Amino acid sequence: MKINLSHIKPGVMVEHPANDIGELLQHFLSLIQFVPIVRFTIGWRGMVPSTRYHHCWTLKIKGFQGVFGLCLANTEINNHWSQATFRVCYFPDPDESLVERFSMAAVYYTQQDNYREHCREFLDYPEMAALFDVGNILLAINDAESAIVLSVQAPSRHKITSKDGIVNPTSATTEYLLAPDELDQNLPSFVIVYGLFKVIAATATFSLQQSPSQLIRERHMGHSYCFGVDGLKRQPTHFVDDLTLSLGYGEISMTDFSHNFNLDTPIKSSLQWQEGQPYPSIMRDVFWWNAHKINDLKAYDKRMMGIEERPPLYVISGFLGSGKTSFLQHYLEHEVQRGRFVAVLQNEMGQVSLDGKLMDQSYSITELNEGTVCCSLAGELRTALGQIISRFQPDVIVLETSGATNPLYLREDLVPLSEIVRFDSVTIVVDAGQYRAIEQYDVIADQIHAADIIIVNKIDKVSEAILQGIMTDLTKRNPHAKIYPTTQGYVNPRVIFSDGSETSDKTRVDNQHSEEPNMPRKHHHDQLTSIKIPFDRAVRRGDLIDVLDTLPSNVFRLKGIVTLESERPVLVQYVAGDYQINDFDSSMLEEQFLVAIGHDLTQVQLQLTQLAVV
Amino acid sequence: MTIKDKGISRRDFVRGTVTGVGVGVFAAAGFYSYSPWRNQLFPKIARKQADIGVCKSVKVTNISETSWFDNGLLISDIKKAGGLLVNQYSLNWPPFGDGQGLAKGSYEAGINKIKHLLPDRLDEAWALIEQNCVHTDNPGGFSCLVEIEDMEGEIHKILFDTGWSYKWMEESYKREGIDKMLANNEIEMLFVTHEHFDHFWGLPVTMKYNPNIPIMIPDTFYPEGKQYIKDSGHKGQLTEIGNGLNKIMPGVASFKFDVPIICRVFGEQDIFVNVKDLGLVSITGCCHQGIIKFAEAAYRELKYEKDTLYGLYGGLHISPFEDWDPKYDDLVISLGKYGFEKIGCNHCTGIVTAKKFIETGYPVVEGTARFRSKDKAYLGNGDTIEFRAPV
Repeated sequence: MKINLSHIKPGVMVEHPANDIGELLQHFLSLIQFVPIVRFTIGWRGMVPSTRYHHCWTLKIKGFQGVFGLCLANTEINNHWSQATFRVCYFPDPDESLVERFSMAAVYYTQQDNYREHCREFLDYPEMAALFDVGNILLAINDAESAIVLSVQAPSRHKITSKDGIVNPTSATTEYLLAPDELDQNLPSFVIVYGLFKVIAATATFSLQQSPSQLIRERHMGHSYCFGVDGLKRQPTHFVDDLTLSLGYGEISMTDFSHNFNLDTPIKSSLQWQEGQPYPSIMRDVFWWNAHKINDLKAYDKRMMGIEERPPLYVISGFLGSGKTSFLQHYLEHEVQRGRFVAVLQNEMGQVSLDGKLMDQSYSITELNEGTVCCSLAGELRTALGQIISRFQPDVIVLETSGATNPLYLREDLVPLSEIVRFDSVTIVVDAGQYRAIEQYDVIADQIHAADIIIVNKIDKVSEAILQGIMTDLTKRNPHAKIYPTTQGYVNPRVIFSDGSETSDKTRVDNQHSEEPNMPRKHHHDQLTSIKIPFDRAVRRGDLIDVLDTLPSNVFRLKGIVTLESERPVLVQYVAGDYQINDFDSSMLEEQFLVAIGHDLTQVQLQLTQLAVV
Repeated sequence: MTIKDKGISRRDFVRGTVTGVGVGVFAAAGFYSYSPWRNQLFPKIARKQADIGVCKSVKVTNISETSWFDNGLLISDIKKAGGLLVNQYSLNWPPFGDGQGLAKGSYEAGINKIKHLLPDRLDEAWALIEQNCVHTDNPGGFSCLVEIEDMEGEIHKILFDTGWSYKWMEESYKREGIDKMLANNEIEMLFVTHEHFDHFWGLPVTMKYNPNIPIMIPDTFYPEGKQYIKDSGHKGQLTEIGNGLNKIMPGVASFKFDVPIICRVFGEQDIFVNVKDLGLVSITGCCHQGIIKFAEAAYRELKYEKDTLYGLYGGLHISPFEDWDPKYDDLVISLGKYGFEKIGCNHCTGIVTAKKFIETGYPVVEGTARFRSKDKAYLGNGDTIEFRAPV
């Protein structure tokens, strides 16, 4: 079957085939971005195109700690085929043991402070990049645009001997770091570049929506290298193989196929496969055979391919006013920008899902109004989750719970829901400025204890010493949690959350859950109560401010929307003495009210009622 | 004693003994003269500094930046239809509906219902569309008017994208007087950034008022898109723009990127304006190629006033790519290094991102949040922004 490029790009590539073949890989890599589940399944973990160079990327894939660099080296046209050669570098993580296999000079670079930054734009540092070269990936298309060949070429080992040895430059006497004739580099290049090739080939299969029709693998006699004062020498050796592996897509004859990618060295062995034959046993389990079927629900057993379809469920908790809404907004936009769709379930003490109204309407919000989740039956949560999943097929679900929710109970409620969602983690947002005031509450202690991630927000409101105290206290209460101090609720979500479809982290929560003492605790809200006062008329700004200025300390939080006389609606937010009055989008105005939360609210109820009525 | 003899790792050796020595010492020791790849040097880039001329000022009037009104609805449609790679013409979204329901349509089936009414009888067409399409209240559109003042003081008007909903765009054109400008032949061309529904499908509204207007599209439109231009009643010149830089008038050039975009769209072109004594101003549709990449293209390709990237208008899509290092995964930080002095953002930028720009102290021109634009952090519907050197 001919390849079909029309769903990748319109038109044909007749005008500038040599240039376009370089572009084609870029299109493959771009398209896969739109399908996170496929992208993740076939092994992508990160992809950044260089901003400065065309056809140049840094890439992360599953199973490799370091970062791959890929760039177009040249394009050529011969025998009715346009071919692009991409060079592949592998920049190991500085702590990765593979570093030891690289040359001394490469090792030197890996230990520099700016190594990661230099890797990002490795083409700006060609002297460095050359030391991390692992092989080539080739992409070719025929004139008729009926076939594509994707190949990888690399030596089984890239061995470099130092003829004269390397003398320690810091030593006064002649001290060898590397003895004469010792190996400076002994890198398993093919294994490394093949790791990337497998992911790129699966990406090609997905983009082309068809699997390869041909395969050839050849072993040629390889070379070893020796350098000394007289320069670099290359010698053929039986101890190294030059390996090539080519996949053909579309209509391509074996002659055509093998003719194009021959090396000029003697061939040691060769493996050939054609459509219709059983897959070669050593390559049976690679995704390039079936990546195009991953997205098709009916055609393939996803479980067999290890694909996780349940969306992850993140629980975001935090005391009212801690800044969890800001954090959530950052998170939502981050995901939306990446084409992922997040559904948010909210439940807020006080029966009004206020934050649902504050959130841009573009996010799907389902409100659970009947009490807090911890009190509600798992059944209700299941219904809500079921509705969300069938209505929106979200990539991620966030359950936002009020500060009065006890996450220890929530974990128990979530266990029976594991068929439909994958419970990922509990994040709690804590207001640094309020920390001393809230830590006394049992529910806070429980929240901190139950969290996987703790975000300490509004750190600009406290001194360094107080912050240090909070951090120490948190670590003492929950030594396992990751703690992130921040202002304005902003932490890069990717620092703290796994990828939307990641499965590796799920044990984190499950383990912790099993460690929880299985003793029933009476759940109460620490005598916190809430009152809601409806407003049906405008109030004077001065009156509102008078009330806010004189709220007693037992009011912990006050929040709501009211209309001020001769002004637009405003959002009122009060937390223990601090308050803000901000404009509120009138088109989103549904009702006017103020909600107060604290203990013993009788007096406040009077104050607010007076404001509402008089 | 060699490192191997001492039994220490190379990493530990480098960390311990040599830190601070510098790679130069190793270079002197002949360290990397051996690289077998040394002859195959990596590609180098050079600034081309193409001269596109200058103009006196540019003013942008936001006709509509609200592409759709309910994002949840839009995304859920796309997801139910099969995901982000599904062909936009098959969705049965307005105006291409055949009554068969979500994801069961085609350009052919949809246009056949309304073709006879285009471009003049749009009210009737919309009434049919409401019968045949899904979620007809959701579409809005992206469109703005770009006014270039040349060095002689003459104003050149460019219509930059043409929105989506016939109904909404007609209303928006009337609000900003675009209908009259088109009818009076005051607008010199329609520049379409990309084939997406919200930037292009409102085309008949423009055709209704001036079917002879020259149109510029990227050369990577799909056949359906090109047919739609014909079916909308276009009688003027159609220019298809290829990759890279394309000069439009003194001080104005477009730049096209080949980039796959969601819903089976390919390629986007945006505009650079070189303002005398001020610097370069970028006007973007969505910037699917990524605003950073667009800014880098300007730096690499163009010569501009004061060597300053001065301003931005439009949707600032971040790169659709995943970053492997979250430290750099932030548009706000990335954009900072270019030192833009005036930013008017909206559409797909993200309100939280826009607010972060403001918090970070970027020179964001705030809007008035009128005509269904949601937030003042956006330069909203009916707002304007001007770029002109102080006299």
